[in-house]
Amino acid sequence: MTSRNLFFNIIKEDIKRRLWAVTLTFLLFFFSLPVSVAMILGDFIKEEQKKAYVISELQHFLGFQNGWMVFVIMVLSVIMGVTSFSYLHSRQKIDFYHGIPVNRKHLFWANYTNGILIVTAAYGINIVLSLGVAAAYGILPAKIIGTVLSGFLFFLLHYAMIYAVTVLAMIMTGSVIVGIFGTAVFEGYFTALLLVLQGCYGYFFHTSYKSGEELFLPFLKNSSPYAIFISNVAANRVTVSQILIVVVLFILFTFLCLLLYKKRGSETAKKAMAFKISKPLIRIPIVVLSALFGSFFFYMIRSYTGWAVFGLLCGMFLSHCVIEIIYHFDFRKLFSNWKQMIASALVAALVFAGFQLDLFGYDSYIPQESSIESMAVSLRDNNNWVSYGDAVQDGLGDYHWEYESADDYIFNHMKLKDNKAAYSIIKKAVENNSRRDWEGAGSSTWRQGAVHDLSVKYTLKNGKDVYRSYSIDESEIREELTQLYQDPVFIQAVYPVFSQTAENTAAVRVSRGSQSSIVSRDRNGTDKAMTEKLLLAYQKDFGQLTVETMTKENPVASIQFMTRMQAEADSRREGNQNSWQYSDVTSRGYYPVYPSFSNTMELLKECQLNVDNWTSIGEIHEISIDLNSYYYDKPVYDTNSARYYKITDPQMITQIMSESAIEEYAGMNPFGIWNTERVSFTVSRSAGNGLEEAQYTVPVDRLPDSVKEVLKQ
Amino acid sequence: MIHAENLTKQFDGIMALDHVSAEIKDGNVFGLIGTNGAGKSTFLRLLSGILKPDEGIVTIDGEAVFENEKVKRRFFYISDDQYYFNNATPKDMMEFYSKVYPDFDRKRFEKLIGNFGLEMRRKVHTFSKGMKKQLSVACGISANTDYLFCDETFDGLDPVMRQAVKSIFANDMAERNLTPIIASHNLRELEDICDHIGLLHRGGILLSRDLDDLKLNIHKVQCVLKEGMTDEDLVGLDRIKTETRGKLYTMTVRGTKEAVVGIMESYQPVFYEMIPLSLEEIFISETEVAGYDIKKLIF
Repeated sequence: MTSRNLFFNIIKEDIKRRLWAVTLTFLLFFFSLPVSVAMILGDFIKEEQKKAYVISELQHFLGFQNGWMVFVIMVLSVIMGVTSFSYLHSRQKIDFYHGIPVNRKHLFWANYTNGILIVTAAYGINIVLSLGVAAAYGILPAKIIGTVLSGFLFFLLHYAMIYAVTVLAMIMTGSVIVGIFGTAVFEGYFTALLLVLQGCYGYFFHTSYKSGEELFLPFLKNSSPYAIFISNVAANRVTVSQILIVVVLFILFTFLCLLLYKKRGSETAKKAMAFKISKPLIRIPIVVLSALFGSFFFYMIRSYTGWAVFGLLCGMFLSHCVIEIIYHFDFRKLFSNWKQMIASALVAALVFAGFQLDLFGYDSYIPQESSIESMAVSLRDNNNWVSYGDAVQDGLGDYHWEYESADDYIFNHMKLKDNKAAYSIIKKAVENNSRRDWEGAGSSTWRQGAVHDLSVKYTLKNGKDVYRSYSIDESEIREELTQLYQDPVFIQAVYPVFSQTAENTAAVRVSRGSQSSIVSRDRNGTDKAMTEKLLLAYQKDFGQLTVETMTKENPVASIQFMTRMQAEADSRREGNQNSWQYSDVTSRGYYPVYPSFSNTMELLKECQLNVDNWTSIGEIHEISIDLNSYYYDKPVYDTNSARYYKITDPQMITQIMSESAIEEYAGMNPFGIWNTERVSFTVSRSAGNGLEEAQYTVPVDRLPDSVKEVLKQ
Repeated sequence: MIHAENLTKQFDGIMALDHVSAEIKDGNVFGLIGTNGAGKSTFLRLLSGILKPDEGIVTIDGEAVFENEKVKRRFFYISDDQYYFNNATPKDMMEFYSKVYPDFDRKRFEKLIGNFGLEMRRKVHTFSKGMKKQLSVACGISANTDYLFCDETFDGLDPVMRQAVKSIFANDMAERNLTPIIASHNLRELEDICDHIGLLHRGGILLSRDLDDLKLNIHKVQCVLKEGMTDEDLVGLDRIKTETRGKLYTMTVRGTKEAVVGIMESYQPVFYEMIPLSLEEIFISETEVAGYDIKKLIF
C-alpha cells in the first residue's frame, strides 16, 4: 500500500468519523448563502428598475464584505479545529491512532487537510447553488462570478489561517475545553493587552492626543488572526500585501502545528498543557495583563492608588489561581509557582506606575523649541461651527458629506513657523497640569470658567510628527490667542474657505436668521464674475479680521460659497421629494459676515441685499426674553413667574442690542460672547408690511440693571 | 525478534520504566507480568510506538519501531480499553483496519465475529465489555501481523472465551508463527500459555526468562531439621523466603531441583519434601525479594 493511498484512505475514514461536522458545515453555508440569496432576490427582483441595485447587493453579499460570513467562518474554524484534533485529548483515541501503522506526519496532514477540505467543499457547493438561485431569478452568473470567486478565495484563505490557530491550541493542550481557552488566548490576548494599554494611555496621559490616531490602537488590526480577518473584511478593498500576510501566517502556523504535533507526547492526553515549557509562557503574560487590568479598572472607578493596588491583587490572584487550577486540575494547587505570580504582579505594577506617575515624562514633554520645524494648533471649541470635509457623490448617484475632523484638516494645512504664541500656550498648559493633583479627580479636565481644549501637532526637524492635547483656561492664554488669530498662517489653515477657488465655487448664498437667498449663481458670465468677486472679497475681509474687531463686533449674517458638488446636490434637492436627503450636504460651509467686512458688504449691496438694515436697530420695537429658557438650568425655578419679559423702551433696546449677537452666529466669533453667561431673546422688527423676528443673545452682565433684577427674581 | 534496550520513560517526574531491556523471540508467547503500576502498559505502548522513550530504543529485527510505518505494519496493538469510532459497527472497524493493515483478512474477521456470536452490523457501543474484547481480538488476529500486543486482553472474557482465544493464538502460532505479547496481572491466565515471562516491578524488569526455566529454578521445600539445627544452618541453599511453624520450615529457594535435593540430603533432615510453585507464587516470591511485601498489603 502506498503512502498516498493510505493518506486518502485516512481522509475518507476521517470524513466518515465526523459526518456530523460535515452536515453542520453544509447547513450553515446552505442557510447563509443560497437560502439568503433567494430571500434577497425575492424581495427586489419584481422591481425592474432596481436590478442594478440588486446585483450590487448580491455582489456585496456573496463577496468578501459579508459580515455574517465572518461569524460563520469563525465558528467553523473552531468546530473544525476541535474535531480534527480532539483525539489528541483522549488516551483511548491516541493509543488507537498512534498504534496503527500510520506515522504522525501522515496522520497530521490527513486530519489537518480534512478540516480545510470539508469547509471548502461545503462552501463551494453552496456558492454554486447560490449562483443557480441567482440565475433562476434572471441574474446571469457571469455578472457576479468575479466578486463571488474572490469572496470565496478570500474567506477560505482567512478560514485556513484562523483554523490553524485553533489547531495549534488543540495540539498545545490536553483537553478540548483547555484547547478552546487556548484559542481564545491566542486570538484575544494581544487585542486585550492593546486595549488595556490604550485605556491607561488615554486615561493617565492627560496630554495624549484625544482625537486622532491613538498610540496603541493602530496595532489592533494586526493583534490577532481574528483581528486581521475582521479588519480585512472591514476594509473596502483588499490589497495583495494583506493577502500575502494571511498566506504567510497560514504557512507559519501550519509549520508550527506540524512541528509541535511531531514533538507532542502521546502521554499528554488529559493533561491541561501538552508542553511543560508553554505553561509559564502562557500564564505569566495573562497574569500581568489581568493584574494591570484590575488595577486600571479599580483606579478608573475610584481614582485612588489604594483601589489600584486592590485591583492589582485581585487580578493577580484570580488569574494565577484559576490558571494553576486548570493546569493541575486540582484546586489545592492554586498557589503553585507563587514566585512567578509575584513577579508577574510586579511587572504589572511597574507598567501601571509608568502610566499613573508618568515615569516616562509623557505629559511634561515639550519638544525643544529649536527642534521644531513647524507647529499646528487646533482650538476645538472655536472651530466646532466649521464644516470640514467635502460633498461627494456615491456610485448610485447620491450625494453625501464626507467628514474630515477639524484636527485632521488643520494639521494638514497649518505650518506655523512663528511658534512663540503656540509654544507659550503649551508651556502654560503643561505647567498647569504639573501643578494639578489628579488623585481622586479621575481623568476629568473639567474646571470652572471657559476652558480651551486644544490639540497640537509638532513637526520636528527630524521629520517626526508629535501630537498632544491640552486643556487650559482661556483667561490664562488670552494674549497668545490674540497673537494666533492675528497670524494669517493660522487663520488660513483653520477655515477651509481660504482654500476654496473660484473654479470650484458654483454659487453664493447669504443667510440671516430665517432669511436665505442665493445672491450669485454660476449660470452666466455676469454671475460667474460676481461669484468670483464675492469669494475673493470675502477671503480678503476674513483674512484681515483682527481680534480687536472680533471683540467689538459680532457676525450679522452668514455666507456660503457653494462648491460645484453642493450646487449639484442643491439642484437635485429642489427637484426631489426626499429633499431632506441632501440637506446635510447643502447646509454646510457657512461663514460669518461681520459688519466691518466692507468689500463683501459692498458686493452684497450690488446683489440687491439690504445690508444696511442688518446693523440698524431703529426698526426694532420689542425685545422679548423667554424667562423659562433662562431659568431652565438655574437652581431656582419659579413656576408662577411670567414666561416672557418684554422690553419696548427704545433706550433699553439700543443698550441691549449694542451688546447682543444673533444667536445662530454667536459661536462663530471666538472672541465674542459665546463663553459667557448669556440670555436669549427674540427681537421683533418691522420689515415691509409685516414683522420679522430673530433670535439674539446677550451676556447677562451687560444687561441694564432693571432687567438683571427681573432675571434675579 | 523484538529487542527493547534500556527503555526509560518518565511521566511528570514519576519513573514509569527505568532502563528496561528485553528480548522477545518470534513464535513464543511472551507474558508480561507485574504489580499494579509496574509499567506493563507503558512497556507495551513503547513497544508499539505510541510513546516515545525518554531513553533507549525498541527494534523489530533491527529496525526502530517509533514512527516507522513499515515496522508498525508487523504488529497489532490491543489496548486495555480499545477505541472504536462513534457509532461504528464491527463492519466499519473491519473497513478501517483493512485500509491500514495491508494483509487484513476480511473473511477471517467475519468468521471470527460469527464464531464469537457477534453481529457485523450492530453498533459497538451497545456491546458489553467482554464483547468489545472479543471484537478487539478478532481485529488483531485478522490483521495478520507477526506480533500481537495484548494489554489485559483476557480481562473481561469469560472462561470459555478465554480458552477459545488461547486456542486461536495457539493455532496462529503454529500456522503463521504469530508472536503474542500479553500483559496481565492474572498469572493463572498466563501460566498455561506463556513460553517466556518478563516480570516488571516498579518500572524495572526483575527477570525475563523462559517459564520452564523459571519453574525449574525456584522451588518450595518443606522440611523438619535434625534436633539443634535451624534453617540458618542450611549453607549452600539460596533461600528467598522462609516461614517457620514449630519445627516445620517452608522455604522458597533458588536452584535446580537436583542441586536443592543434593543440599537437603547432605543435611539429613528428619523430613523434607519438594513442592512445585505456581507462577503466582513465583511472582509473589520474586516481588517480595524486590521489596513488594504482600504482608504489608493485608490489613
